[in-house]
Formats: sequence, C-alpha cells, structure tokens
Amino acid sequence: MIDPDNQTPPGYMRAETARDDVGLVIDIVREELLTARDNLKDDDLKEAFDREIERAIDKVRKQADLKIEQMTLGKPN
Amino acid sequence: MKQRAETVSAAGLAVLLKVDRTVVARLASEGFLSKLADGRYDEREALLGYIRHLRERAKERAPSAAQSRLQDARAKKLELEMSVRSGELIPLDDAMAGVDFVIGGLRIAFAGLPARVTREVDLRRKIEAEIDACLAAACDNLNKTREAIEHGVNPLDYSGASKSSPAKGRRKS
Repeated sequence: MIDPDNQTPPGYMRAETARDDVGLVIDIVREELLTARDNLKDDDLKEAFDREIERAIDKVRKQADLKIEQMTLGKPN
Repeated sequence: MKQRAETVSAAGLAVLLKVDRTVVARLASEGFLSKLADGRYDEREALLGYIRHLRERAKERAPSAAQSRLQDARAKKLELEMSVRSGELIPLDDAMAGVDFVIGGLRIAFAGLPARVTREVDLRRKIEAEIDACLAAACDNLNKTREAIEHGVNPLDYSGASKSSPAKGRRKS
C-alpha cells in the first residue's frame, strides 16, 4: 500500500493502490502455500494440493474483483 | 514665476480618467476628488486622488490571508469530494474492509482444502497450520500497512507492531 507521490489525503487510499494490494495479498498467500506444497513428499498429494490452491485462489480473485468494483464504481454517493 | 495650476472640468476629468461623469461625482462625494471654488478640479490633485481611490479599492478586493486559507481549504475539500465521487480515492476504512473481505474469502476458500487433499488427519492438521500461518501473516502485514498509512508513513519504512511472519520451521510431511 504505497502511495508513490505521497499526496493521498489522510484517511483515504487510491483505488488503484487498493486494487493492487488486494492482488498482492492473494499472490503472497498463493506463493506461501505453494512453497508449503514443496515440502510434501507424495507427488499425487502435491498435485491435489496445487489443484485445490488454484481453485480457491481463482474463486477469491473473482470475489475480490467484484468487491473492488463495488467499492469504487458501484458505490452510490 | 509661480506655475499656474492646470484645472479641468468634471466632464474633462471624466474623459481624462476614462470613466463616466457619475463616477467623477461619486469620487468627489467620497472625498477622493476635491472641487475648486469654481467647480473645476485641479488636474494633478485629481489624478493623485484617483490613484488613491484605485489603491484603496485594490486593497479591499485583495483576499486576506485567512480568506486565502479558507479558499484553499474549500478547494481541497472539493477536490477530495470529486476524487471520492469519481472512484479515484476510497476511504481507508472501506479499503481495509475490502481487503478484510478478501482475506475472509481466502479463509473460506481454503477451509475444506486439507480434507479434499488428504484423508490423513496429521497431514490435514499440518496443511491447516500452513494455511493459518499464511493468512495470519497476511493479516498482520495489512494491519501494519494500515497503521503506516494512518501515521502518514511509507509502509515499507514503517517499523510498527507486526506480530507474525509466514510459517517458519516447516517440517517435511
């Protein structure tokens, strides 16, 4: 959540930054879980784990996109 | 030899100053212009009076420092409102609520993952622990980031409270 020009008023965040952060959080969690996956010995287990992670991450990404949309464009003022 | 003062009529003065005659009359009534006994105006004095009038008017029109600050504050408020309205800026609370929503979504999405991957209870527990550690680290980082933004500090430079890091000391399953 870095504001490069540091001109964001206190108490507010650029929607663009929020969008990037949400994507970043999801990426970090995914990477961490895939790292954890590497510690599994069984190849079948690894594949199952991979599949489940990607399925869950994909679902969350879609939810996150909707949420961001709602926070910015869809929100009535 | 004493130089004779140049005098001018009200109409002549209006032409000289490029104003209406009513303006000349008003400036005279306000004391900026002084009529001579014959109803005419001393040209030099009239010019000086008109300059004084212009200076005073400029002074009255110039905004005070407080007015300028007020105008700046209003402009900033308007700019902020426009940015929020256009969706360029969002309140930090809303942004954090959105990210919390995503973290909650991750937690729900991963809830049944260990059971879907393996039937071994021990392994399930280990996977659950890994997922919990990842999500806890993500939450901790988000809290830290929020604190940094609230303190007006770049999150990368912020050394506030951060409790956990992603799962450490992972063991082979």
